[in-house]
Amino acid sequence: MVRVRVMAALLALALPLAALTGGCGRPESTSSESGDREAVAQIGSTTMLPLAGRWQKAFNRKQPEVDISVSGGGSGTGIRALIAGTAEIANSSRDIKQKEIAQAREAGVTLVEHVVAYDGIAVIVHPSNPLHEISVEQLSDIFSGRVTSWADLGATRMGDTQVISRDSASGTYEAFKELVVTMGGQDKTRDYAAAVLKQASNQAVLALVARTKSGIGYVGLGYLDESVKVLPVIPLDGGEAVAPTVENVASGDYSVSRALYCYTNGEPRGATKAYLDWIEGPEGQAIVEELGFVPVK
Amino acid sequence: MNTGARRVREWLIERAIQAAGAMAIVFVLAIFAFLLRDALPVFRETTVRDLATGRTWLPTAEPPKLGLLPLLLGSLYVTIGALLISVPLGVACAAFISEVAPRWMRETLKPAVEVLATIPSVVFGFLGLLLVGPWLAELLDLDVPLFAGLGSLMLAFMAMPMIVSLSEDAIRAVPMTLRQNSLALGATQWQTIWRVVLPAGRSGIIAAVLLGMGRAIGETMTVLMVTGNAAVIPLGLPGFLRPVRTMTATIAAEMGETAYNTPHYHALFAIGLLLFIITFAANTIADVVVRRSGRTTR
Amino acid sequence: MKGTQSMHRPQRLGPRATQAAAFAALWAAAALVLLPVAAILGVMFVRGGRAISWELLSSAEDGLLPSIVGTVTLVALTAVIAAPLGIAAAVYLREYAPRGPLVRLIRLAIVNLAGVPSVVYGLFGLALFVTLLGFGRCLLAGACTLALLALPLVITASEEALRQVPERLRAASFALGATRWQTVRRIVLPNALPGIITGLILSMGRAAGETAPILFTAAFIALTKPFPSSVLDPIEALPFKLYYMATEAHGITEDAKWATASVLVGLVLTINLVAVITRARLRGARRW
Repeated sequence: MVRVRVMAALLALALPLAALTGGCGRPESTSSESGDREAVAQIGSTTMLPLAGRWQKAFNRKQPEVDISVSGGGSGTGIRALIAGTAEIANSSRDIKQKEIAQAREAGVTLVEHVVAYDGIAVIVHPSNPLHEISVEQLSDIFSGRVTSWADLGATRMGDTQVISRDSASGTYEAFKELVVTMGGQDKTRDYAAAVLKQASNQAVLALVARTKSGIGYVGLGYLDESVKVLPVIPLDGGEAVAPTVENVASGDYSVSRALYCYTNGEPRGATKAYLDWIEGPEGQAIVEELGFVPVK
Repeated sequence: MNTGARRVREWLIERAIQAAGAMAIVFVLAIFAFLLRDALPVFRETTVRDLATGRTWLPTAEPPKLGLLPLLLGSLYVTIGALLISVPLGVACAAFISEVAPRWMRETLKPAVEVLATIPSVVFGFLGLLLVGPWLAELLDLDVPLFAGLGSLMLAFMAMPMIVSLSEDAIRAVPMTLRQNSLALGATQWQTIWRVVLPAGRSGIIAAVLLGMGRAIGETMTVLMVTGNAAVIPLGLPGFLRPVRTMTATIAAEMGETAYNTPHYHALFAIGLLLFIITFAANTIADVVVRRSGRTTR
Repeated sequence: MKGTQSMHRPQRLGPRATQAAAFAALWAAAALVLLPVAAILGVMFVRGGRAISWELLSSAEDGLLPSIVGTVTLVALTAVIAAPLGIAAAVYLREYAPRGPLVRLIRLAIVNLAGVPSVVYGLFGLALFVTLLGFGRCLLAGACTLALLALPLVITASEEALRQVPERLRAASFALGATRWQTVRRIVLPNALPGIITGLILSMGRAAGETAPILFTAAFIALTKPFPSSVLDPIEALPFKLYYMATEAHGITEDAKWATASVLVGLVLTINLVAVITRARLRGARRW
């Protein structure tokens, strides 16, 4: 009998539920409700996720009263959350888009940009690849599909190039396009060729290049390991090939690098400011270096 | 208890039940409406024609190139490949289960196929990525262990339970008298299956194939993980050994990174709308086919 | 007999030989459907089994506990949303609905709902629950999305269970002067309950393994808050975790990936097993 009553109650739930779907605004943000503790939600770029996780842990050891929550989802997701007011900090591995600035303005949000690290992008090939260096022009030809055979690059018996890239919406993809495929903007008509394989992450690109004899791809410095061969890059103005190292990125000698950003709504205040200041300070930047990214200062 | 109050209460409950009954229609319309709402703004940027025939998918270029042709063909390639594997195998397996298998085997096979249906698609993707892909690449001497045919293979096994169980239902629905007549005329059991039972169960099998197609074209995680995601237009048989990018994988890979309300965002909803329309057509046709055959059998 | 037939048509196999060949092919087909998958699942369980440790399962820091808790919570909330709607819809279709175009249309809608690609559910959830209703990326949005996906399964299973209730029970109830709702509530639903619950559990098994619908609506990789404190928090989920580990995560051992895959399949199989046991036990208790 009791069971039947429960059933009836469940049935009666059907209508209110439909009404619930009818309309309601966003319930109050939960992230800012932890009593006296100040809450900072940091959302965005998957590239920056390991970095943000380490920052949070180290910062909370010093200041446990600040309630920092970190999540990924992508640069677009982070900026969306910042504009919607559900995040205090948006992590982005790409430059902000005009459209997003306009959306922010509409919502009364002023986006303020903080460069928190640099990321060197290394060009990688299979360990059996005979090449020792490669120029930006050659890379542009390969990634835009103008050159499709390793023989054209002086490597015989390697067959056709298998070009492996990050997915088209990622910050790394856009940075590499800007710096390499268009050769720093020299030829804006160039873009990635259709045949380029797209992988969800640095890790996936690395794994695929390591398994693909004729493969070539690019990953962030922090992801490099023994399973692939790194090609030093000859810059656009000629000269010596430069290896992608933290020192060379920091000095500006290695040109294939991009900035990683944190965006806030207006100038940061309170806990958000304390946290960002700490990130930009020596302790935050030490973590940047430890994870294979390049410190800002 | 006051009968009037009870009558009012019953009336209310029954209206609620009625509303819940119609809910399925509401939801289908709502899904369509929401996809449409977020897909339509893409036509400020492009035309139906450019969308359908554009050969380049570079959504983050300036201006974005939003050609869906490579994605549509990528999806079709993977799906057709999957059907080429799963339909003959699945129908044969169904015929085996219902006509040939000894009883104990039938009792083992049916639940085994049902278990197959419960394996999540992300697991198939994972196994394709780490195990089957590298193994096949070695076997076929391929450069890249991610290719359209790998997606087809994984999808074939995912669509199999549906094709097997629906085909089996169709075969089982063929009246016993047909089989008995055929056997009485001196046909062997195989001749009866091939010439009588399968043709009689034809429409049910066609429906199973259509539903299997709908399932395969809408499958996301597996193809995202194993097909390499290169937005090329696949050509000929070698196309199965090269990477492709499907519609579902494109949505899953790009929605997280794209900016809200940009042409790219709307284009991803347009892909969703296209998928919805394709699967809607496949399911509706399958449903009509099943219903029509049901009427003639009766 | 056999000899004379093959003499007449020497170029073709006799019907018996054909049958033998064809049956062999059917056996092979059945084996091909199951054995390869069984084999790779076997490899997965062996490799995963070796790597599974209590630490991996129970650690909130870098173990699977948050994902397991997230998936279970998500599925429970999904059931709470989908069950009343689905069961009520089934009651309507089976006990109330007059035959006619409306019911035909409802059935067509259910079939189509079942066929909507899971990633399209994800888009819908993103547009409606996450954005328009402003839930944000959270447990509630994910559960609403999954509930929609599970709804056709729940309806179909519940209807099947209602159909199994013998007609004479209804007739007896009506004969005693009970109204239709009284009959449904006192007679039909209690008798159909085992089937309904089994169907519900099976649909939840399906929901537990879905990744695409929660990709933009609920799932995240928790670095700081592994467990949700309200339905408006995002959650970790096993299928999403496996996707992340397989494609994105840095510095994760192969072993951990295999272990996660094994745990996910193990969880889904357990849910299905629970459904089967429930059915057997509740069936056993009831005799018509």
